[in-house]
Amino acid sequence: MTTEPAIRTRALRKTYRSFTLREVVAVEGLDLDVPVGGVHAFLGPNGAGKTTTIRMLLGLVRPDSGSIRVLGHDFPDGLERAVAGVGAIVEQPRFFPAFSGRRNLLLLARGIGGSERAVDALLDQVGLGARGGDAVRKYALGMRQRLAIAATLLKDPRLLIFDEPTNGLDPEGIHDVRRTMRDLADQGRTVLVSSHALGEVEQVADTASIVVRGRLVASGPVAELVGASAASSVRVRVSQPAVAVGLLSAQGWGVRQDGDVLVVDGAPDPSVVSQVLAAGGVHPSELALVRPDLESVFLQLTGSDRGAVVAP
Amino acid sequence: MRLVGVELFRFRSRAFSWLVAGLLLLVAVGFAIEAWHDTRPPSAATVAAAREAYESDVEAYAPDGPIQTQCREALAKVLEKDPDSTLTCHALPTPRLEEYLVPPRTFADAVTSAVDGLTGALVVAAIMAATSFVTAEFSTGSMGLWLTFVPRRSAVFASKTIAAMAAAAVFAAGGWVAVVLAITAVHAASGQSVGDVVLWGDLLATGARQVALAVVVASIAAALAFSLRHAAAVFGVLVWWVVSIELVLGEVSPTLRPVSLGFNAQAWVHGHASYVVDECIAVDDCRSVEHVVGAAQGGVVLLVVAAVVAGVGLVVFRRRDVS
Repeated sequence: MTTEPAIRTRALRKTYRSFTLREVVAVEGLDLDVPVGGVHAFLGPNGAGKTTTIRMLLGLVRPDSGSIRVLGHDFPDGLERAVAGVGAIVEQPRFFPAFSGRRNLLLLARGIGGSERAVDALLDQVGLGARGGDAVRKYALGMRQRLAIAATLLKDPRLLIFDEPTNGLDPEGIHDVRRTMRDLADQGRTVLVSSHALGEVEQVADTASIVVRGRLVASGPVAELVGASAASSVRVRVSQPAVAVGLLSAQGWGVRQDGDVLVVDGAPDPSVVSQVLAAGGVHPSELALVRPDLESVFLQLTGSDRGAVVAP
Repeated sequence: MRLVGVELFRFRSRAFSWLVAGLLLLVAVGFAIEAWHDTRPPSAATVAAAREAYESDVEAYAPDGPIQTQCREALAKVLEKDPDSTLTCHALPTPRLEEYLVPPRTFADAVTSAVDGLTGALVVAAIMAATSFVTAEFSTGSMGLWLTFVPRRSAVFASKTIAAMAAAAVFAAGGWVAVVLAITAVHAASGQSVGDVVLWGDLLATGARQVALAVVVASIAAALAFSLRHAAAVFGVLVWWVVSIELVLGEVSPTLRPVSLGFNAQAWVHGHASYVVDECIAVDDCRSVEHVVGAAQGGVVLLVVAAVVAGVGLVVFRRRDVS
């Protein structure tokens, strides 16, 4: 049985006109599938089209062509029903700076028929209960981010979209956002997060999609993406690096040397490296498997524009 | 209706809304001060100055006074050159003291004049409040957030425009009541009559038309704000319109006066407005013809303009990307 994805786009395209009327392609034929449940990372370098895609998913930007289906509703006819189940923060949280956090939330709540009690509960939930009466312009960025998260939860959404939610946050704020995303996903909601903080995303994301210049270059579970797109390496420290390089290169493996530390690419696992070195009379003082991470996959894919699409 | 209620809640929460209300209150205070000044009896110095001027003129205008003497001398010179001239020195009326003492202004005159002068302030207040109400959403970026809660753009457009119109109605009605009450209170306090049923009927009718005008103006300003998104752009367009259409075009071509919104607004508020056009049957046979535009025509023109601007604003807002 196949479950319909929370988000599905097909051949999505969006172009902008510059002041010189030059056409700039922001999104080019994007086929994006975000599975229901879990945290899905939406990755790509600056200008890859992530924010434009998110804006199209929220109905803020009209695509030139292609289709969008969110929470089972096709755009544009089903936009209202789809957005009713979506909470989103796009780039920086935008509130009325002169209004208090509570008043801002109250306005949004009244727009969807929400209650005043829900607003107070959410302010407490995100730790702004005591500062809810202060004007938003007095809030630090982290507080605004927390207010934005409270705003997204007003609708009790099935799908949450966070666009660069940790931008400008201190480590504690980043940790809070990461934990919030994980908690929301653990409640059965779907979280789509676009971010540059790949290390942060890798810790929290279950699946990921990588876009480059408006096109999807890789998509799938993070573990599979990392496994499929970059092989492990073995790092070894030896007292006779020159001899060791000769022994390892003879096996057909790639060897990079940095002093007495060698990084061996293409070796099946550390034990085989150890055996080869021991057979040649070289005994390593340190031996470790270097696993690829999402960042290395990302750099590899965005650098080459090529990558395997791993089925989720 | 729920969305309109939310927008009115936001309108009430805005400091700018209260600033506009405060400015209208200041206008009312200004009219009250003027009314109080007009009801005061003239001071002794004023009376003395008036009497001095009166006595001076009595001497000057006497049959053997300097004015008649100068006239006769000038006439003699004219008759010297032209004996057939029919010019004469008429006897001048004798000045009266009351002509030199400004009488206290009546309530009817004061309140009618103030209500007429209030129209401009109400229109400006409606423009400021409606424009700022909509453009603040775009400048703060909160429109994008709002649309993720209420994605129906037509409903968003309608609710914000209706809220701006309702707020303009409240401002206009409040401003009108404040001004009229202030002037009434001042005149009542000075023991003057504060009008009859006919006067109050006329005042109320004018006030109702002023409120309606403010509502229409607010709808135009709100729709312009949706189209242009920036308050500066809206005011730029309005200034261009006032200068090129309201001020210049009517002077250059009087026949185009009916396209002036100010002219139609005047017709709507006062019941009619007129303009004069020189019409020539032949090269040397021209005459000035007065054309009158009624309140109904003025109102219809304003409504049509409001509908067109609102239509454009809605189409632009529905189609445009929001950041």
